[in-house]
Amino acid sequence: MPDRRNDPLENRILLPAEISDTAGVPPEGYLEAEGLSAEVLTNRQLAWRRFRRHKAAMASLVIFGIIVILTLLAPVVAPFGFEEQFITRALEPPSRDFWFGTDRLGRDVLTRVLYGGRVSILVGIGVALASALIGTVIGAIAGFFGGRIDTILMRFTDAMLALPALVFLIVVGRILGSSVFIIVLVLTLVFWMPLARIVRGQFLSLKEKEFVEAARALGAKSGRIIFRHILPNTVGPITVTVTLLVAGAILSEATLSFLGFGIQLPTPSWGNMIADSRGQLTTSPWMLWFPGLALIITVICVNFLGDGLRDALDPTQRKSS
Amino acid sequence: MVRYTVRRIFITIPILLVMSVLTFMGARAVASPEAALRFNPRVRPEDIARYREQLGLDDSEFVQYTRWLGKFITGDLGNSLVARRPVGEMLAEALRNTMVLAIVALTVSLLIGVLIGIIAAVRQNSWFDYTTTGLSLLGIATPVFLVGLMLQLVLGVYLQRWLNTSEPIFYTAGMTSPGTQGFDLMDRLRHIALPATALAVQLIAVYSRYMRASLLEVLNSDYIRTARSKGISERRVLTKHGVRTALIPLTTQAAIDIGLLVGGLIITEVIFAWPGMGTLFLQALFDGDYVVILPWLMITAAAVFIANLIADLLYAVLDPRIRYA
Repeated sequence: MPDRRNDPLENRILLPAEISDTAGVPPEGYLEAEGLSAEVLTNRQLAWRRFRRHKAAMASLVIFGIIVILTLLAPVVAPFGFEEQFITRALEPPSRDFWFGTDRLGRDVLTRVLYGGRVSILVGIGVALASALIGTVIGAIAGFFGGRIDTILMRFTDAMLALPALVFLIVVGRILGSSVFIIVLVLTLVFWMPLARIVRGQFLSLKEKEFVEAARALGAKSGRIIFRHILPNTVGPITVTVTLLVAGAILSEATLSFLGFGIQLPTPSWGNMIADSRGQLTTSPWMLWFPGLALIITVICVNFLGDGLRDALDPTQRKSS
Repeated sequence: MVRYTVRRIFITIPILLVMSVLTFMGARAVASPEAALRFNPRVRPEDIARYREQLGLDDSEFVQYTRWLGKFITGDLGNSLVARRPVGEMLAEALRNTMVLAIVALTVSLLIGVLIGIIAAVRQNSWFDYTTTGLSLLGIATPVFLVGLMLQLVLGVYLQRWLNTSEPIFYTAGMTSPGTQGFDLMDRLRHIALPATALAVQLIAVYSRYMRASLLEVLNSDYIRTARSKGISERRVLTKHGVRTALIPLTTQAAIDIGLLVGGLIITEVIFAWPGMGTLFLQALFDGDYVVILPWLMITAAAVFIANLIADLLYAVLDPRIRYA
């Protein structure tokens, strides 16, 4: 260790072993030894602290967590099977036996809301992750290499953005079919563009930064610069966008299923349950309210989560609210 | 600007062609236009065969598509395979009905959205700001089809029940009452109220958020401080300097959202049985009526393309800082 007495705190030379993701954070006990006191926080702890301050996001984290756990445990917590019918008790309003009422085939609506949530959330998260992959790859290539590649990729992205998404979804879904896998695939085709643009923007500005220049001067190859130096710095904006994509994908899946091009009955999804309520809307409105409420609550929670993550991970991009 | 426009047209044409092939496949893959005839016991198999031959449905899909494309380029839209009416006439009628719905919904949501946004920005952190922010978050999280169904249930059915009237205040289906002669404004309004509201809810939510953010940014800028320090009244600062500048990004956003509006229109029209482009699209898709659906796609894509182009150009015109190479 260098002589501390002549070494100002901020200019302390870091030994190679100390350079890690906690770089810049003095080793434990160091400040106390200097007679100073301060709380030592890593970036992750700082982000968590900022996230915790966002009350709506914290509440949403809890509610969304409960929804996810309940839907994942649907086979355990649901009172009935999702295809189990009580024909003699069809279209019954909410009661002690059927908390959310029954549908026209005498199936328990609560059970189907739980199972439907599995499909909706699975599709939402699946689409967001797949879009993250495609969007990041396209955005990174366009932003890093620039020039003609950038022009072609971005023109393509813009053109895809200008396409009426629902028409595309309906048409392609009709050709390919409507299994959960296909729905995720098709939705991904119209969801990767915003991410590609954001990642490209990040790459455009980050690749000019000194640390990238330094890496290049040290002889790092493009691949290494992209994956080790630039990409870790874009994790914040990517996480925020992907979270918001989850909400968008859940809504789109519901819309597609509502129109009959998404998840097919008898497999429940919130969208097709709402579509199924149309026939007896005036007499059995609970068939609309409960899946509808589940859908709205979930989407609001995910939106708030995205908002909180923006505050936590990407403080410069904060919305003016 | 001209070069920019031309370049955009060139990138759009191949995408539109791919999209039209996909749409053709989507229409023809599952359904066939003579499907309805098959269930009619009075139609003999020979008749169906003759029908298919007449319409060229026995040719390969490639031949059918290229034949359609050749006619389309020369401006010959032909007749619908199912309804047997001229496609141009069907599309014109549907487009007119959709435009009425879209323009009413868009105008209402722009007016209300901008107004809410302005008040929320001027009275930042007031109860009005918090309430409208909360409501708009709710509006953004509620898909159009859910809004539509809830409106039908509450304002269509329940309202009639509560008021105990013999007929509903707001109709939940169609564009006019059956048997209405000529143009009856009240009747039209009672039909359009719910679908237009269903479309507007999400738009108002988005526009008000957008306007609020945009106006706040403007109000915090240097030139507004200059205007204020020169002693211009707060009202004049807002109307002459603030709102005008804040409207620029909103204008372009509204134009970009036309693509989204197409989706919203399809859903709204299905729910409220509005005889417009959305209804026509789904009907033609289920019928396998590619002669209707392909020009439909071209019109829709053109509308979205033009709206996007206007958005870009408008942005450059309104905001002198932007230039397109």
